[in-house]
Amino acid sequence: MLRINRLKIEIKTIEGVYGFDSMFKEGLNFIASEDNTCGKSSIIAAVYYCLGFEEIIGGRGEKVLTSVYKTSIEDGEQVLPVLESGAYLEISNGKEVITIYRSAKMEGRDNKLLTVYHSPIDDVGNPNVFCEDMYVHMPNSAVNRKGFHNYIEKFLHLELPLVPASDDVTRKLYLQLIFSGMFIEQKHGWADILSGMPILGIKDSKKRILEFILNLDTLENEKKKNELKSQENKIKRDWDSCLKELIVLANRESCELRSYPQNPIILSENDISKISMTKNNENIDVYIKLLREQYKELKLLKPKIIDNFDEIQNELSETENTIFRLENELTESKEMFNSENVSIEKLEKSLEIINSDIRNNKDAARLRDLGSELNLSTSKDLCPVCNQIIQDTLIPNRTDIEVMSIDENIRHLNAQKEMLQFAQNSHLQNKKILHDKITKLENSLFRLRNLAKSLRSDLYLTNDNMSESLVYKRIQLDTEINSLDKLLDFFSKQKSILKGLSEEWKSYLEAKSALPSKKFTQSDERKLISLRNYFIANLNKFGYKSILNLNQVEISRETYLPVIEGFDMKFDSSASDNIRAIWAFILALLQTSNEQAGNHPGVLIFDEPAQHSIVINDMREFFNSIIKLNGYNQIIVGITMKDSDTLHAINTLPLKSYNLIKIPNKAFRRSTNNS
Amino acid sequence: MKNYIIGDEIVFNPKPDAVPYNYRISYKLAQICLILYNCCGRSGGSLIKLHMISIALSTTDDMKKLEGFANNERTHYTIVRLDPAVNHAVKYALADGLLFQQKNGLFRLTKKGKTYVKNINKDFNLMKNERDYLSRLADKLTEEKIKTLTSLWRYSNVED
Repeated sequence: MLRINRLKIEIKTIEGVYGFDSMFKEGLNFIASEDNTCGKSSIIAAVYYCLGFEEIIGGRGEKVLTSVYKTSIEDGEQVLPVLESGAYLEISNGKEVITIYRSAKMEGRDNKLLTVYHSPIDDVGNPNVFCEDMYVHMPNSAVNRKGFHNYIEKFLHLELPLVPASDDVTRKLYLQLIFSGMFIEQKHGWADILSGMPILGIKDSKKRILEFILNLDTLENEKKKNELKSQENKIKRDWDSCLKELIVLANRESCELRSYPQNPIILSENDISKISMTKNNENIDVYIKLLREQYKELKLLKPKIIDNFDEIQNELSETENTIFRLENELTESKEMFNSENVSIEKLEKSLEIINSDIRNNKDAARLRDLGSELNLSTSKDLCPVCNQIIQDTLIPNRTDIEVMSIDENIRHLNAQKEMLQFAQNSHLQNKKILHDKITKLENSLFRLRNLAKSLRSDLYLTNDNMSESLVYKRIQLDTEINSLDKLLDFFSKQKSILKGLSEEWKSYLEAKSALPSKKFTQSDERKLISLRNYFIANLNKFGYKSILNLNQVEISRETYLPVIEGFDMKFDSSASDNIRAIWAFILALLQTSNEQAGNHPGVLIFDEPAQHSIVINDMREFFNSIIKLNGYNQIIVGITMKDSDTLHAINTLPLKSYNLIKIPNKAFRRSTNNS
Repeated sequence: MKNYIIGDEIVFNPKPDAVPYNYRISYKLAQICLILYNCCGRSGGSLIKLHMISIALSTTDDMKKLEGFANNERTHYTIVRLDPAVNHAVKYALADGLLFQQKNGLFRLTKKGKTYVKNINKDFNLMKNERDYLSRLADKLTEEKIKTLTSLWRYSNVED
């Protein structure tokens, strides 16, 4: 909830300080002047300015303020130049009171800077009062800690939703947009409902504002949809990284991961058991078991050579055969690798040629454009002498064969370039695969050659010595078993992570299906019906005449604005009825929010509601409706009491029901030094 | 004999042909204007000079050869290639009002041609290589040098 307590404007000149200082109360407040151009708009503009909402008036910064803040101020006959100016606005959220100071003209102080004092205006100079500097209109000020609107959002206990913006990101719904539904300013605000709304790049901003003010559940749905979207992305990312880690580790051990789900799905026990790790086409458990058995057999073998001479010989010849085979494979792979490299180089050269061709053709296109700027006929494909259509080429050719235009040529070259790049990419991929294969082969050859070496040395050693090859084999098996065991461990760990992610995915899918699609909840319906009823009641009271049967007015479920038979109401309204419609709607928003626990901050500002020769009785009804509002609201009305009718209308209101702030001729008076 | 033809008629739709960029009218026109602007002084440029420089701009080797000849470094620049495309382009340029031909047969840029060159020069990246080379070549390739070259034709290739 927002309550404006006090506004103090200070304008310093060489003759002293001029200013305005007034308290605002709950309920109806009039800022009344007896004539136009007394400074009433300057005062209301100061309220917008101090809250950082001056975009509603249509600008940013001090340019929306009248010249009395920036250039010169009149005092009787004298015209005094303004040295410095600024305004203090004391506001409250029902419990705490803060004062906001913003300068309009001050050397050395940026006008985007706001100082917030945690005290009423009277205590501002007190050193015990905590004060903070914040800023408006800088990028991210709506979400940054030092952004003023971020602070105000928390101060007013509003929770602004994240809504889709026009460039496909989500942004916070800006406070200035919401307050354009509460602060109706004099020049543009009376054109249409919510017409003073600044353009800030939010999609369907009027709809979002109304959703927020009425606290419709569709707002909640938007929030939930955003949360679910980020949850979905997180799960996908975790899933991907889990699988990637596993695959990288498996490749290191020459294993393959099979039957794994690429994208997050709900994994049943069956699915999890299907994910398998294989080496040499056998399941890794089976492979490890085999290795362990081999190891056991080796342990049983007596290590002395004399017992194993025959086996050693056989094994040596087998190993040598394998080495021979692998070496052949390696040479083949290396040849293919080289040929891929050659292709890649050739393609690189062709790409260079094509790139320079594209550049030159683009130059030619640019030259043709320059030529047509100078009205050269050749640039328009016309013969300069006889104005026949000519082809854009200097090579004589048969007239029935067409020639490509420069743009077609560029397109053609671009297509060629893409094709070459695609070919180059596929060669690069092949190269990578071959590289991996070569590395693997080289590793195996390394091991096998070591084995062969130890076998050979065994054959030539004396019979009593330990068989080196046996020991070597045992060590090899041991290390392989260890690393595969570690891999298996990691594999089961990752499987349980996947299972956890699959559970998260399941709850995400459940939450997603629980979202209502587009229908309104029951409470939303109630709110919209209540808005309609208040709106129609207000229209009746204020004397709206353009539509005979007001019961035909509905609140559109698409835009939340009033429509009749599907058409926006303003098409049927006369100008003064349009004004009545705006009174009725803005008031109805406040009434509905009060009754149905919406997010309305409970304050309205109407600057000159008497537009287009409004009948004075209707104004009186307007004021009466405001007085009758239940709940703690504050309505500030800026009004010119020029004719006796208006004066009469205000004077006939019950005395204690309003607070009249009278602006004398020329609002800003010389103030004493103490105030 | 087996009949390999699929049907009685074969319909052939010719696709448009590609044209090398330096045979595009706008490109050649621009080249000629740049040559006249950079390499021919107030007296104007002859047609043969236009041919020689235009041919030289096609490859870097040719560019070096011509520059060597203009700097009196090489003595064996003998082949002068004449490109009919340059002739066509000169005709277009005359018709479009970019050049005019003086009574002595030399060509000079018109005001329109000069504006054209100025607009090209405004764009920093447009025809950068050509412009750099031409500003290096500047006035070095004089009409006298060309005359001595062409006079050789008269004497060495004519037989009685």
